[in-house]
Amino acid sequence: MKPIRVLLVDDHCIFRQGLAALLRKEKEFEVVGEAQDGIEAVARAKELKPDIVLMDISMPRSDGVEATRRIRQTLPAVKVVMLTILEQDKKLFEAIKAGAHGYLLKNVKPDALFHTLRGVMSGEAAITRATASKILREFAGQSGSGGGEVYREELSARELSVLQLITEGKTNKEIGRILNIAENTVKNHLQHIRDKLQVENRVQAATFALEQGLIQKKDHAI
Amino acid sequence: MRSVFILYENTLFARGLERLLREEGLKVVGSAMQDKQALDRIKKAEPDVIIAEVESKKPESGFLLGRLLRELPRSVVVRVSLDDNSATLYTGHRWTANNAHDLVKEILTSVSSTKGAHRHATT
Repeated sequence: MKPIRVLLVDDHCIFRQGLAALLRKEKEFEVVGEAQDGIEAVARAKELKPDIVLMDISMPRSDGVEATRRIRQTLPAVKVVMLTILEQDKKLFEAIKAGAHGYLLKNVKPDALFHTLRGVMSGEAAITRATASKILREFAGQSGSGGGEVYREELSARELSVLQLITEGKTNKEIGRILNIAENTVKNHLQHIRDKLQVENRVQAATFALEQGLIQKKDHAI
Repeated sequence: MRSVFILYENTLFARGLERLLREEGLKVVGSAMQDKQALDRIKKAEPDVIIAEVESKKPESGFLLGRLLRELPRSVVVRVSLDDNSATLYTGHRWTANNAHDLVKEILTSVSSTKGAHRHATT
């Protein structure tokens, strides 16, 4: 199996080198490069085309949010996972909006890092419920202004129901029970929703739905 | 072989640093998150050097640093932070000031040799 190619971006050289040392001992990962700020990150990403960029949020010259935005614009296939000390970091929210696939706290164990990277490669969002909920609340405050009629017409009534329940924080199993359909059917609906909205995971789908005003406001918690 | 103890806030940092130090031939005799039990563990491990990660973004971080310097005055403590790329080296030693002259003498010695003071380094 081909290893997951990782670009490490962090201005703290000891942390960055330590991370590289941890990933190096795992056969399923290959550290293809390192960068110490946002500008270097964008250049290295264009040059190396990694599968995943592990990106520190706060860096000199150009921070992780701006670098994420630029990488996602020019290299949409490259996934970006933010690294942060604090889950309450205000820039985290900006990074998710800029296209990051999630984040990792620097106080996680190495196994959690490996697990997250694998998950992101298979389409999962690396984000906790608490942060997803915060993001969705923020978008809920802006919802209805996105002119999402085009998207609403593309989605079936059942897909809109699934989307509504996703933004309320329901799992696939719970959605299946509420709508009286099999969990696999929920997964199929979710796949169709992702395709139609051109998003990569349920968090992005829910965020997009709220941003575009596709669903009714409720107590959003994913 | 020099022995090192890592006192940390962020697990990823500690595990990565541990691996780097071992690759450099240093002996990591232990590591602990900054909590009340950490000091006992450090005393038990008797390291030559303590690397203490202190994060200014976390208000509770670093509460052990003062106690470390007070209770283990002969230890070499390196304070590092993920906030920036600097490290501070504390090389303390116990001494007694019987009068103002002793105090001034120690201050002057510290300034000239960095003994008892701390130095900054960019990592």
